Amino acid sequence: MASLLRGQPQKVEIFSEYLDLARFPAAQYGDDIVRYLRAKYTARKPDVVIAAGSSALELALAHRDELFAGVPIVFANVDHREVEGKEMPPDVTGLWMAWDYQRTVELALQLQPETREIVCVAGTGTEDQRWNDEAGNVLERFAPRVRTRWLDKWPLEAVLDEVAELPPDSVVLYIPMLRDGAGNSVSPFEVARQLAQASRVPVYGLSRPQLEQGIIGGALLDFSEIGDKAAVLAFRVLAGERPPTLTLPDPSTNPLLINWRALKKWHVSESRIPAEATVLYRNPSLWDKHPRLILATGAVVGLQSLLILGLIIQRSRRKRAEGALRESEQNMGLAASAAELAMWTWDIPQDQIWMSDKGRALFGIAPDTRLDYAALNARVHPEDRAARDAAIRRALETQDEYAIEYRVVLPDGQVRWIAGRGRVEFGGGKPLRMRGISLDITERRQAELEAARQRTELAHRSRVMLLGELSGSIAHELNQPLGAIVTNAGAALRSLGRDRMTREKFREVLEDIIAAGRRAGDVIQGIKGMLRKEEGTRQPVSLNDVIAQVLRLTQADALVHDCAILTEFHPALPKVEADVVQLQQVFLNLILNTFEASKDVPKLQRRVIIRTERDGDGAVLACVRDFGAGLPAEASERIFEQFFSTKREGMGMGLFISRSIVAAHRGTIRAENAEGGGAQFWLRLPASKEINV
Amino acid sequence: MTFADSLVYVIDDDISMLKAIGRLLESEDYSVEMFTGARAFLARAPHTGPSCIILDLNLPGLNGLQLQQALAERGLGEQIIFITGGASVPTCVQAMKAGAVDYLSKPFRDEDLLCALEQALSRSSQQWLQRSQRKKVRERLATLTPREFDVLKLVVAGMLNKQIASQLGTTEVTIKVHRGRVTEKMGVKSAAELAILAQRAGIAPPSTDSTTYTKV
Repeated sequence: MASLLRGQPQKVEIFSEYLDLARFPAAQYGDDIVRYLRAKYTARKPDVVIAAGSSALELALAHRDELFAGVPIVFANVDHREVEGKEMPPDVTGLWMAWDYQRTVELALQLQPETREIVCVAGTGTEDQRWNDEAGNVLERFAPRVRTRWLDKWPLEAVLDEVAELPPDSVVLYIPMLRDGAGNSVSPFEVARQLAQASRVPVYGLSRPQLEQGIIGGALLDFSEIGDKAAVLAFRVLAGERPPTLTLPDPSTNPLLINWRALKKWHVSESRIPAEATVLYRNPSLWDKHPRLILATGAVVGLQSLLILGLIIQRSRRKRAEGALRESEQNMGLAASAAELAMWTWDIPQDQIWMSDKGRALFGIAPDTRLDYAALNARVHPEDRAARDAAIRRALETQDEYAIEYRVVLPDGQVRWIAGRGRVEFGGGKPLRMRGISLDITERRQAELEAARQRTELAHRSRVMLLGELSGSIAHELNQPLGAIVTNAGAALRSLGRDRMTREKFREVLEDIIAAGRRAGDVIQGIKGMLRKEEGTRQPVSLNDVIAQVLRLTQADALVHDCAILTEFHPALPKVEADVVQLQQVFLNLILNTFEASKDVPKLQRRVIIRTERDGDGAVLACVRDFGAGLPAEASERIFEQFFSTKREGMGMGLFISRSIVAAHRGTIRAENAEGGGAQFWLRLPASKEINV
Repeated sequence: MTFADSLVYVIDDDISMLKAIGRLLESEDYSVEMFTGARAFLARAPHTGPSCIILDLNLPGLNGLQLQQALAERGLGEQIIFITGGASVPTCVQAMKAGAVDYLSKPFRDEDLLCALEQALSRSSQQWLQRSQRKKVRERLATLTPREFDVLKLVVAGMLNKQIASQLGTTEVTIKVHRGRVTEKMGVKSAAELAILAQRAGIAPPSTDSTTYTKV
């Protein structure tokens, strides 16, 4: 949704507020939320409010006059039963969400015609029960052919034990649950994952994000699709239209999806996959199958359980604040991937920590035991303890907040990532209490790792392509020393016959042959490095060296393009912490682009200037400039987008990957038209913390 | 076989390649001069004698093809053998069209280079021979008086003494005297030899009515 909103020609600013109303009902917060939202948005009234989830819509409608008077509301992902019978104001529109039980069951029966029993795993929350009723009605239609059995009154552990023992002619239908049979609130994703892991027979589901958790498939509600549709509605509303409310499900919002890995795991034959179904996660590479899916931020994951009041759009002439946007996106991701949230209070004088049972579970601490700082700290991963301690101590000293991410190790050895935040409360100049929350961000961390893996793979592919473009240049780099070797050896051989060379001279020739051989070896090593698939280690390197290495590879290419490359290297450039190969790739890409850009420049004026500079003590800058036609208007932002290319044969991946590499190095890259013509690309990287000589 | 007074230039920005070629040629008794760039080469006074340039195509600054063009404009007729680390067909064609003797991809066989070099120097020697002969003729022509020169032109055009006398408005006897001096100064024995020399010196026979007449 966010990406679609940003893609609009109009500048929009997006604010997101994550309320977590499903697990913390509004009543629990009292009026705090409303007060908070009012304080925040009175001064900057949005043009449209997007409410994701029933509770968010409820809250927005209930407090509309004081929060967003007169502002149209677009809701997404609201269960239509919830508002049935209630009258909607005319300027409220949106999309109902619905699970597609019918097509999911049909898919199950098509993939596994031998099925005799459908085992429904479901929850006991109020929302859960509504869904169960709906599902029950649909399942009745299949009654003569298959039996239905409900596992909706059991604690989760018992359900997991039961599904591990199911007979082969049964399948599991997982109806998302927010509260298990024992009344515990649960994360529907986590349950999906546990079910898929435990079950002996395939688990079918109803929501898209569950697919990644290991379920086999279904007609899965795609939240990002709903998000996109809601964004379109929002823009129609902004344009003054009154679009009607859309009713789901339809095949575009609930596509038939199948998890290939789960298919293999449960030995389900591929031959019965219906034509309209899409198979995901086919080995070996996710990227091959669904690049868009993998590159999507995943920010919308989990809208169904974690209700969000959010995405408030402002039409704004102001330049979009990239940073703020990214942050809000991260917040959303953080929220979405949160499976567990712990709230705690630390009584500092007594050294006693109060923490909800939920929170204790998060840290693997038994309920009803006394909890102090040391006991909690013992759970923290030894490698992260010092950093966490320091952050809390700093908060105590500076009377400020702290925010830190760290790992905890549970008694069973399982490692969990936690995002912790806390604030000190003072009384009489002394710290009295610290209050805070701890959030399970393990999933997000895993997603980040997966994203890093994807980025590495993509970068590798692009390197291979770049080297392909350079093959002529590389041949030249190899032929040069090979030529020297062959000719030297030839000269020596000829002299040998006639005894014309002194021993001294002969030794010189052999030494030259060795040197040339080594040089050829170095070229091959360099190429091997570039072709290496896995990410290299980060080490302090000088940008000057990195660029010089790339220039050696592109030297012949520069000659072919009649391009003079001028370098202005800062002599005392601080090093940067980097994966050399990846940085080489960035510069290789930028330099090859300059050759392309110089094509229409008269031969003698073709030049490229590469400069390095210090940017204060903390960063280094590199600038790659050509004297071509420059960037087309408004392209300086878009050129970094995927599939955007100004080159006729361009794939539009080079700069996109360059930016992701630079970002992974905590740097930035931007493009602009240079004064005096041509384009210039600025790369900024933080200097390595190590002492630079 | 080496050619008297011949000189081989090698121009390559890659020092190891440059040294290797230098060694190979010296082992074969060629006189060699080496340069790492085209401009340094152009700054040198041209060699007076047969010469050949073994020229790397991918030179920084002025590249091989550009140097070839510059030399063609200078007109001293240096023969060029291109060597390159990455041969592309279009540049190869361009180089050969512009008169290069050969085009060798690195790494090349030393026989191939030596063979091309022989061919290049033989072409260059031929040119130098012609050039020195032409020079000699010109020097001799310079000793003729204007009157003798006029006579020479008409002799070369194939006129008889009588015709020449009438064209120049003098007597046959006078023409005979002039003619004797011309053949003496030019060091030839017959009118036919004189014609060959004159042609070599680039003196075209005048196209007059009388010429046409004598030919008929």
